[in-house]
Amino acid sequence: MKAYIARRLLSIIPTLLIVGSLVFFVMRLASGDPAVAMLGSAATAESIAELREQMGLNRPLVVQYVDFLLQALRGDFGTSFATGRPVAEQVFEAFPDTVELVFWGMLIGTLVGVPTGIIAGVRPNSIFDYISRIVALIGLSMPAFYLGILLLLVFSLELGWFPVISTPKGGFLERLHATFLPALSLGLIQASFIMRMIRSSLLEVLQEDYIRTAHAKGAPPRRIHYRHALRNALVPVITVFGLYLGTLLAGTVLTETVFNRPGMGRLLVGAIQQRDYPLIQGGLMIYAAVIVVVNTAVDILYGLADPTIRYD
Amino acid sequence: MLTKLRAIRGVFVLLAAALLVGLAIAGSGETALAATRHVLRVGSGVADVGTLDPHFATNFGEYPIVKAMFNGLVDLPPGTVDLERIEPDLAESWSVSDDGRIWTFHLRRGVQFHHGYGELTSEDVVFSFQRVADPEVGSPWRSEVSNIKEVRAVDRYTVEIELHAPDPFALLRLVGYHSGFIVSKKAVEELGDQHRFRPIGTGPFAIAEYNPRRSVVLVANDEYFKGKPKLAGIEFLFMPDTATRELALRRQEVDTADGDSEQIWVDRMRSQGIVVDMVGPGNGYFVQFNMTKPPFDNLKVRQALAYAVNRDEIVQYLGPALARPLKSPVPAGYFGHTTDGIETYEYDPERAKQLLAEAGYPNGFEFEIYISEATSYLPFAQILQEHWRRIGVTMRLNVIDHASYHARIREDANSVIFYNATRLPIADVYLSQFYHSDAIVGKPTAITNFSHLGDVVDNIDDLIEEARFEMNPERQKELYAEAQRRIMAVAAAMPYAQRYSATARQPYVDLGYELIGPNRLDNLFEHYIYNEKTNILR
Repeated sequence: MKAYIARRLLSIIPTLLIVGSLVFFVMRLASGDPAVAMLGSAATAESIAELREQMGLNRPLVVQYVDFLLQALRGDFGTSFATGRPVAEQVFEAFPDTVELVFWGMLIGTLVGVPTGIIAGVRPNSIFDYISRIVALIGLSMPAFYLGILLLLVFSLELGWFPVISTPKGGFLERLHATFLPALSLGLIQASFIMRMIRSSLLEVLQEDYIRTAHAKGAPPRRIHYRHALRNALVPVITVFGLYLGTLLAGTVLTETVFNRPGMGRLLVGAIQQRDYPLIQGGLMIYAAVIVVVNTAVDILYGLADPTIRYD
Repeated sequence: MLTKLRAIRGVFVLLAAALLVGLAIAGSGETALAATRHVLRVGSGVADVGTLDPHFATNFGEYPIVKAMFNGLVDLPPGTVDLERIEPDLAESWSVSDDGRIWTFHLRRGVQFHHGYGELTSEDVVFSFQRVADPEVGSPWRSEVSNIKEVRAVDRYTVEIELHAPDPFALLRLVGYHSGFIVSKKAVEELGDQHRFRPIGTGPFAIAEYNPRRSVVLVANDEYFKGKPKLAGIEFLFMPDTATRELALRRQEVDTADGDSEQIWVDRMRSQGIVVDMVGPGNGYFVQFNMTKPPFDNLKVRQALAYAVNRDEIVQYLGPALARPLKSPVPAGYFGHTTDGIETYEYDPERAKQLLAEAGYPNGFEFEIYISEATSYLPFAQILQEHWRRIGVTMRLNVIDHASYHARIREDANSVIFYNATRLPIADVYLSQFYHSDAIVGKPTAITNFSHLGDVVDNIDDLIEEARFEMNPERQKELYAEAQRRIMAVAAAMPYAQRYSATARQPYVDLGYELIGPNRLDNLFEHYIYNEKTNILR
């Protein structure tokens, strides 16, 4: 088990180098010039060339790439073109806000999605099942930014319960107050997802022979559903949960924009628009590391849900 | 297992209850503001600033912040860009030599830099101009000081600026804007890289905090030489999403905000009791035809396309409160603008078709261009696409992101170039950047001449340069008029609209200066200027 975890964590290094290299070349293939983005549209070709020289962009691509690799191997992600500040500093500044949002979003998603999924799965084709499936379908079809604006209109503008500017600051409760609406908009969409996963997974498991055996030996339905079925039904859910967590950490940009939160999504989109190469490279590499760690954690969780899984 | 699940369920219920109680407490815990001096909250339309150093600030999110912290030797009164009304700022008086080349400025005494960086002296002024001019420093505004030969400190409070050639707009080029801001020599040298986000100025507000992607907080400089600011401070909140800015403004979570320059937005905000102001001098919208690329090397083709553009439809799209037709290469309100004697290509589709036929394209032709996805580019290309389709010309649009577009057009990739720009409101800047042959893309001195005017068709370099140094304003206006006539005669460009930026504020925000018309103010910053007189009245 320990060896397995160590191996998985060590795999971060080649993953990062591959991600970093891909980003390095893809960004340079895309046209657009960081110097133009910084100097504005009235700059002369001469001053653009000077700035490119200062940024080291006029060196041969291979030299730039080797430099970048050597720096990255030392754990140095360089400094942002746009702000002149270290990339790692900017990423670690933005990361907690995103983690906070995703954590509360996941919590809401789980609190709403798991129970509804179980009830719908245990009582398929009941009224509850129909309603929750329709609501889930709406949740899945609704773009995050649209749901976000709806929530803002109702809970901020009309009722005045929550601020429009959800930039987190202050103590725990103040932060939670500011984070609630964006977390709700993430969480509701996620709840739909989790609900549907659990429902279909449960339905499948409930057809298995051992469930029939359990029924035959006279076990009460509650015990069969929760003890025998749910645990097995959770395995695919955990997989999807892990994958989804990765996308959430990377994909909160719309929610962050609508609710005005300064997290990772906004940081990276801004960096791409500005062609801020070091920030894009460093930011995505740090992301990749987080996703590998999250997926490792999910794999370990499998073992808890399904003791037949062994790590060697 | 069942009991475990029950326990877990119990924990969830408790957690949910705690969450709700906590939220209710947090929601009621709003702190009361200080009774008399308010902090103004500004919803800024950018996601972040890249710098707060005035010699590097280039975008509309950075300008209003920098302007609140810094001064120039002279300034335009807030709310106007009228060249006649340039007034003293850090300099209390000035004189100019008979040959117009040496300007002497007498500095105000006792002006203090923020955060204890000492008194402003002639050394700081000399340092500031040298800093902008130094290629090593890399200020984007270096070309604005290219006519300055030397800046000398005569004594502690007197500065001489020697120009290469007399310049009728010398004073305008020294106002607090871009290259004209005066920084503290001591602060720049001591702070080094930190000066970027902790700049030291002399203005009514001083930097307190920079929170990346969140906000910039300024505090009142109570020692300000024009008087103690009425506000306690200003908080600029970065809010790139238009809908969020609108909701925040309606909820009074911000007091002013960058607007959305669309008529429907303006009408909606006004119906909510929010004041919307139009900020001039206005952004000129135009296309340039790349005269090196067939069939655009043919005058009749260019003229046909120009005649096919229906300016009224574009203004209708933008909204009458926000736009008006533009008929000259220099926007209205910029010194030197005229439409007298200019071929303006009033909408005439029949004439357009006839010219196309004469040019050998009776059935029109097809071409493809790159276009930016930005809302200030793509919709205009789509409108002109439709206008040109009506005369049989098909323009295919290859939509790319904004940064790529700016790179592509500088590589001379487009045959028709969509552009819009706000510049220092004098004809010289527009003409030099867009129509002087030095500015043709591909040259080391390139800026934004995409039509190749000056190399392939006509050349108005002499006119632009003569006008630049012409001290007689009447003669100067004639030269500018001639330049505009010649650009339009060869149809190097087709200007079609001039658009103002919408900026919104709560009715209780008193800017502290007069607007030039109802809901109309002119400044160079595409946003309000906040000064010592700005106040919140409630």
